Amino acid sequence: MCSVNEEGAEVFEVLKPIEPLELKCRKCLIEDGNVVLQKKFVYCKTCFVPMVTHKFRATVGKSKLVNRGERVLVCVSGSQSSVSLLHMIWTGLQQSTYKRLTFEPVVLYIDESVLHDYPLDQVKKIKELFEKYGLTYHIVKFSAAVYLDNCLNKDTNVDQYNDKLQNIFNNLSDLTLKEDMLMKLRKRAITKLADLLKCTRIMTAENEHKLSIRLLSNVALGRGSQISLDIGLAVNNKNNNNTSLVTIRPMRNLSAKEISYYALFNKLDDFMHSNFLTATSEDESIQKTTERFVNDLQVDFPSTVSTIFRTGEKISEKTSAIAYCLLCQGIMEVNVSPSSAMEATKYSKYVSLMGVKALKLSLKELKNEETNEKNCNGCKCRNKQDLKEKIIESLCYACTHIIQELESLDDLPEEILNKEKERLQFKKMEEQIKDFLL
Amino acid sequence: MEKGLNITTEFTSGLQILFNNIKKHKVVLPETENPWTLGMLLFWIKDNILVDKDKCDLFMKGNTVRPGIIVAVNDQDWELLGDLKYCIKNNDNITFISTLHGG
Repeated sequence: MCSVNEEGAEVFEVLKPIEPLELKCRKCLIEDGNVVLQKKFVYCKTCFVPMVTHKFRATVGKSKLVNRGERVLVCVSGSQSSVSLLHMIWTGLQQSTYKRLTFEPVVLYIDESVLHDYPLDQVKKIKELFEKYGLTYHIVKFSAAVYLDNCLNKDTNVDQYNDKLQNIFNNLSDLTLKEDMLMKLRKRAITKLADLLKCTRIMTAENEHKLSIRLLSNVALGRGSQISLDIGLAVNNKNNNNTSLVTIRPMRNLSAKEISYYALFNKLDDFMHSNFLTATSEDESIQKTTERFVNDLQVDFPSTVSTIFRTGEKISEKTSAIAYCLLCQGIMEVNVSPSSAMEATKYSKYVSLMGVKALKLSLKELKNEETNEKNCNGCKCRNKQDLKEKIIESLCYACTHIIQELESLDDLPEEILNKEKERLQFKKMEEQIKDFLL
Repeated sequence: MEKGLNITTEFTSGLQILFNNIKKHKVVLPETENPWTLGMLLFWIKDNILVDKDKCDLFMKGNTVRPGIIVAVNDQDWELLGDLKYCIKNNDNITFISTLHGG
């Protein structure tokens, strides 16, 4: 948009008045165009599909992360992106030998009908689709995936877990947090299932568009340090276990429009895939506001999304991370300097809460003060409050907001609570043997 | 002007929730004095097929579709056909695809 001319002055390049588009495909120059990308590149159907497939293959290939015969968990939500991903993988497997994809896909569909109203036959239709492709597939209920270890067993009764799950989301009144929590729980579930299914790679179908929106809303949510985890091509989920799971997002170089037309030309049917933000007003959540911001810009400046995305790519994670958030498994900022944004937010909140009193107490005393206020002395709820406070210590900034809204922690997956208890035990032990350590 | 136009409208990728969860709608556009354009069709859809009128702003913004919704006529991008000014022909298949987060 802006460019520097020879005199060094910045000029705002005037958008040229709509010039008649070339009607012929820019690649073969013979066929009439079908699709316009970025408002200037015209492609015909026959050239468009291979172009998209090529981009997908290039992203998978470039990463050099998938080895021959490796089991890859392909997450299909039913959205257009994921249905297209499935189709691309399937096409890749049918190719002649030298072009064939050589990994072994395991398709996963997480049934979230507990949380959203889906047409009753949705699962059946998804099943039919998977059958048609003839790949190994698993359909798992969301609540089972979150709470149970043996979630692949179809006979288990999940009713009580459904309630728990609904409880969590009913407790969260804020749409922003609701959606954030859903994303985190989904991620947990996928990671767990990948483990159970012995997959070492995970493929998800986010496109460039979605990732840029996520990038910006992550910053707004205070998840800045986790950006590379959430949008990168390969993410090492090496959370202190020896398993190393890598998430690959092979559609990240494709725009939403490219995928839509890919699905259209291949006559791919998509399924309903809602989340908490579906059909809500744009001002109700950070994610939705960000989406509108990006989309509105994109209309006039077709390279908005790719600019955001390429910039985001350059952000890399800290390599020396030592702490991970209990809930989202993202990197946690520990031992931050007192001048950090996080401390500043804390302080500003504290000042607005305490008013003049703030001047007398220093920030360090803030914690004690808070604890004293929260504990209603002697009553039963004390224990719970305690645990909540403890658990907040091992959460990242953004996740603390989620937990704070929850009424009780009982609805959280046991795994998280157990880990926290373990951590507390460790801390206690460390305290006890501290004097004996050299 | 000739009699009504037979067209198919399709709403996919989440947009169908605004239209009774039905993706394909076969509709007949009534006769008018001026030829039907896509711009006119949008308002016609809003008045005739859209179920929940309150949620109209999820489909339209001003006199065009909401940013993020892609329109294709017979598998061809409407940007190639003159956007809102495109004159609808008989048997056209008009597809609306949402690229928005969760519809």
